[in-house]
Amino acid sequence: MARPEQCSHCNKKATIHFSQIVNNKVYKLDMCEECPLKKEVIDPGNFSISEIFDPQPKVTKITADNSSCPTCGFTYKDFEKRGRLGCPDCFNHFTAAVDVIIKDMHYGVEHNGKAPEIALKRVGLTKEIRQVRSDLDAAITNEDFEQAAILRDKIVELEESMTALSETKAS
Amino acid sequence: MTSINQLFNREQSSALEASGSQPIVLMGRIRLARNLNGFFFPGWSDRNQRERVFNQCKQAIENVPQISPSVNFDIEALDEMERMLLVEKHLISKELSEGQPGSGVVIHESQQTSIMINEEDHLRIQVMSPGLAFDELWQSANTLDDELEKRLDYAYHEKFGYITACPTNLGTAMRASAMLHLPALVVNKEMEKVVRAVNQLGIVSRGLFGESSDPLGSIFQISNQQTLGETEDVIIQRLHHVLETIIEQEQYARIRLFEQDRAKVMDRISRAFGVLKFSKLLSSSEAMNLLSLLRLASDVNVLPVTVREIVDSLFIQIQPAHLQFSNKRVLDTEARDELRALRVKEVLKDIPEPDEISLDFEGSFNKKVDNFDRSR
Repeated sequence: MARPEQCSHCNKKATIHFSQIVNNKVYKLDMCEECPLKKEVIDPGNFSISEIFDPQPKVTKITADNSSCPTCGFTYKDFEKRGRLGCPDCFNHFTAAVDVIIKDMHYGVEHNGKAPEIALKRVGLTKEIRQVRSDLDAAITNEDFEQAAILRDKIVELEESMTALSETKAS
Repeated sequence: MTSINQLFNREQSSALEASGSQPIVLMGRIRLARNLNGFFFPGWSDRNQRERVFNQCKQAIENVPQISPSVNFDIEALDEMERMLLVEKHLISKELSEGQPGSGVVIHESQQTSIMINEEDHLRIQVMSPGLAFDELWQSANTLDDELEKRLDYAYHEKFGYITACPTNLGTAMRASAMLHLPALVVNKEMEKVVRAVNQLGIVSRGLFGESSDPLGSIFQISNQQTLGETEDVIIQRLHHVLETIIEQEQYARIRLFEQDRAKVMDRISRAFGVLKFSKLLSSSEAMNLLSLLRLASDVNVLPVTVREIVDSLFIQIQPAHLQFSNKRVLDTEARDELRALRVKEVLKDIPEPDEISLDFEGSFNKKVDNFDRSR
């Protein structure tokens, strides 16, 4: 297998190639001369690529995703390079990829701890509004205008609660 | 500059220097990562956006009682030495100290709570204290977080939990850690085995200044690796359990060490004492490693108990930025080594020499284990 020519952390030419096997998984690293110093990879005894550098996504399982996050323009390639995402919305856009990555990374794949109350309410409201909108569309298609009127009022009500949520925040 | 002076010239000390020191345990810390909706993560956004986040967060934090009185610093307004001073006190990370425009930190006057803004994530809330008071630490981090949530629009995902720039922190976005002093495990060459064993339990070990730093002075930072899928309580409980086991192993290692190699260990301790008292030049790593032996000696009563607190304070005070700050000017390496030797000598002046007659494991050991909350 040909070695990548570019340092995985900057754009310089890679002159150091390193492989390490951790739990039967091969981690490979190609870097220029400066990056290891910057990352303080000095003591080989203490040095684990998988720990020092952000976990390399297990690329094998993820088919090339060329799309970019509609909010911030971040691409999957950027993620491979940086190990971090671009903005909170990236997690909605790259959900499938994140799902695969976190499997090897965490105890579970779903959050089980503390949740922010207000954010939770907002998530709940967003979901409800989405649901009622699609019910409204269905009602209109079925020409059930009485039901449609009720649903429209419901949407207005939900949207008002949503605004109220952000107002408590501002005060 | 004035506010850095305000913060540090007071007789306040950070968690690591504070009184209430214990054998083996230096301090515990809990860190929460939080991000705001509607902004790119700090590493992907521009200066302008980071500044907006910075101002918004600063404003929100200002009104929170749990972190006042506080001081805040725009990282760009601090010079290299001041940034390092904050790193040495564990109030900011190395990453923040690199000085990305639009980032900074808010520090509570007690120096036990700080909030980094625009490090890897928009917010990094951290609380620390001497010993292993994880219940209290979680409680204060949690209330502080509740207060901030009322004022800021947190990014939260139903499935992934608290959103973080790096997927390794998703979920609770909580890292609980303890700083342990494990000289006997190091001398007996058992540390590698311990590290491997705790890794199996999802617990990682790092050096004093985190990430990939060397275990200077036999000080290790031990923390949870995984953040998603379990409650904060369960994560803390597991870490607690692992720490308890490591502490026990260190205790056994100490007993073995003094039983099997008493003359050798006493020789090392006495030499460390001699070098610290009489050298003219001390590098910071040499000083750390020698002071580590004095801390061990104090834990087992070969030196007075008070030495432990002196050592803990020196661990911080002999770091390069601290020396320069106290001397009010930038010093080159040799001048620092000279000043360091002088400081250490001064502090150890009245300490009697190590004496194995008073060797005693009991007093310190039981007390510490009882400090664990067994009701969890």
